[in-house]
Amino acid sequence: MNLKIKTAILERDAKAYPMAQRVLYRFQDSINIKEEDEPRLTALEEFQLDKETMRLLAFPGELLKPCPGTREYLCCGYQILHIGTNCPMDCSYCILQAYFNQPSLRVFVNLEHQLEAIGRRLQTSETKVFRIGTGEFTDSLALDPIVKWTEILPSFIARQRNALLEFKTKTTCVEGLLSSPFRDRIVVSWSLNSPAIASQEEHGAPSIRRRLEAARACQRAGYVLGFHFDPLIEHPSWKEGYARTLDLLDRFIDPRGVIWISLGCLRYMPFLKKVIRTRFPGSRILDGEFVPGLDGKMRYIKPVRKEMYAFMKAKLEQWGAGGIYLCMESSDVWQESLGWSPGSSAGLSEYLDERARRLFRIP
Amino acid sequence: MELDEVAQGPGPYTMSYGFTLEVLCESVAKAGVLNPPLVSRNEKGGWDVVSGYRRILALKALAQSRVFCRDVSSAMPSAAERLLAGFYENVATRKFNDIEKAMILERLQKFFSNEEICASFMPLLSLPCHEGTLKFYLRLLNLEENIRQAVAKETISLRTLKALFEFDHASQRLLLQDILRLRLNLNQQTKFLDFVRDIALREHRSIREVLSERRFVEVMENPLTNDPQKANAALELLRLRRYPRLSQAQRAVQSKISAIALPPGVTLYHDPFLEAPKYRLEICFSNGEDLIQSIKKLHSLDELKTIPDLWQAHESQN
Repeated sequence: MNLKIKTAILERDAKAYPMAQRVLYRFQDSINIKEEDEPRLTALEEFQLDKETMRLLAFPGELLKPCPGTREYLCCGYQILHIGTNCPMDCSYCILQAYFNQPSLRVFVNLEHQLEAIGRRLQTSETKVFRIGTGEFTDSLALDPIVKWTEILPSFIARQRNALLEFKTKTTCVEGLLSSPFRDRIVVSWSLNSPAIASQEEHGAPSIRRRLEAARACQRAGYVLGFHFDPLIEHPSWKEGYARTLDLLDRFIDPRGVIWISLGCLRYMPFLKKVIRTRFPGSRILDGEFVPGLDGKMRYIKPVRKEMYAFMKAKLEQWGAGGIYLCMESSDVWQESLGWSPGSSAGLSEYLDERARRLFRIP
Repeated sequence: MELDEVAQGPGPYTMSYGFTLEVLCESVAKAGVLNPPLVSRNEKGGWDVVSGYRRILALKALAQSRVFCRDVSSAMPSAAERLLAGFYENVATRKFNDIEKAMILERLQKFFSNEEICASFMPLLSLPCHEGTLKFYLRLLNLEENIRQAVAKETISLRTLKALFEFDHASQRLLLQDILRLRLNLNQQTKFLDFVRDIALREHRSIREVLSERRFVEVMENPLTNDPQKANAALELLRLRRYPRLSQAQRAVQSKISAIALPPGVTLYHDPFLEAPKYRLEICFSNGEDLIQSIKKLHSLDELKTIPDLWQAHESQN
């Protein structure tokens, strides 16, 4: 992936962390490096995200947090490891566009120093399976060539008995993983879409074929894979489009090595509509019939969601996939599109924990 | 001084726009001008009003010929001082409408940097200290006169204008024309713009094409409806076109429910967007016996069996 970072900003509190120094060293003389005494917000034009600047900072809060699900829809009980925010790609639907008060590519260089405390937290609930991911507020691997999360996190996970880590990405930046000696309880997953959506809406992201080539390389290297069709987007000939991606999946990937595949239809906070219209005037992702969901986010009307999920489920099962689940959906949509429902968030969590136990050595 | 000596028009310092003089005229007629206007000599030898422009207009409207003013030419030798005097006198005593705020910001720009305006003056105008907001307000001054009037009277919201600025100039004019013609309230304005833009994008049509379509024009020109009825009908037409499946499903559910003769005091609700899967029943009762009667009536109501699952009513119709 071709990073376009022109400036790195080192915040005062971040200076002492070796991770910061290593990141700056890797840039060598290729970019402009600044030190900043006080973190301050740059006055940016409206809706500018400043993806050409990397800001190295020490995150002051907890780095491991539960995914902020809502009561109204079934949530999988995922844990987010907060390694940074924003990403160098520019997907038109990205929720991170709503956070303008936090521009730039932000990397939390106090990660290593927090890991010990996180490890202690994991040990306090030994019977619980912690499914942890780093791809919620950033792409897990897009900045890995510079930041080298893959040198830090797999060894940490190897020391935990009840945790697995998912690297979620759209990129082909798998060199770090391929050279890592750790495989156990590491899931490498790709966000997939129809080729049309990937080329028209996922700006700066590799094509679906290239993503799957990278996934194949990881599978051949012994990694367990995951896939996320999220957001599914209703667009002209969407069935043919998603079927093409599933054909590619069939060509490149062995479904037996896939731990889970999530499906989630496009949803967005109402405010994001204006951002999308402004930043991506040619985008067609808002064409569908969206209604306010029970969590306040806009989502497709139910029949559209059900049809899309049912279509994807049938195709994925034909391929031989297991572990198909819906992200943030209601029980009736589960029932009517997948033919079953875990009934509650706890039920969904248990279903995915069981998948994890089956593929990894988790007690 | 003679009122004729005062320069015509608001001049470089005053900041009044979109006002009416009735109340002020009544006050001046009964009590006179209690607070004398401030004036200063201009380069042409005449007098510019520094503050009190409306008081002077009121006197003129009352056919007065003289006014007692305070000359601040020496006390406030610079134009910046006079502008600030007018500004601070006004800001302490009244609220500005949005066009007046725009006028003030534009005038301040002659003497102060944008940074100073944002930091020192915008908070006094209850505006966020943000350069984007400053730019937005300055844009208001380029609007046509009827639109500026509508903004000053708050018949067009700033939110609407912000949304309108995202359209090309020709579309802005067409949209504003319909908004004013239908006298849409502020929420309706937002919906109207949202629907029209979505429809244009979805159907690859121009705003002009959407707004000049036969059915829409018929609604706008229906001689049998008044303005609020026209507004509701126009919005409903646009909604049906923007959300065809949802609208049909809502109607199907509603027609099923309204066909059921529920006992008095009993109401059946559902999520308007058909997202929540369950209905909700409300029974109003004055005592336990009343409640039992209502439940009995409900129990014997066979039509309840015809209540479909939400969305099923629509799917079975199709």
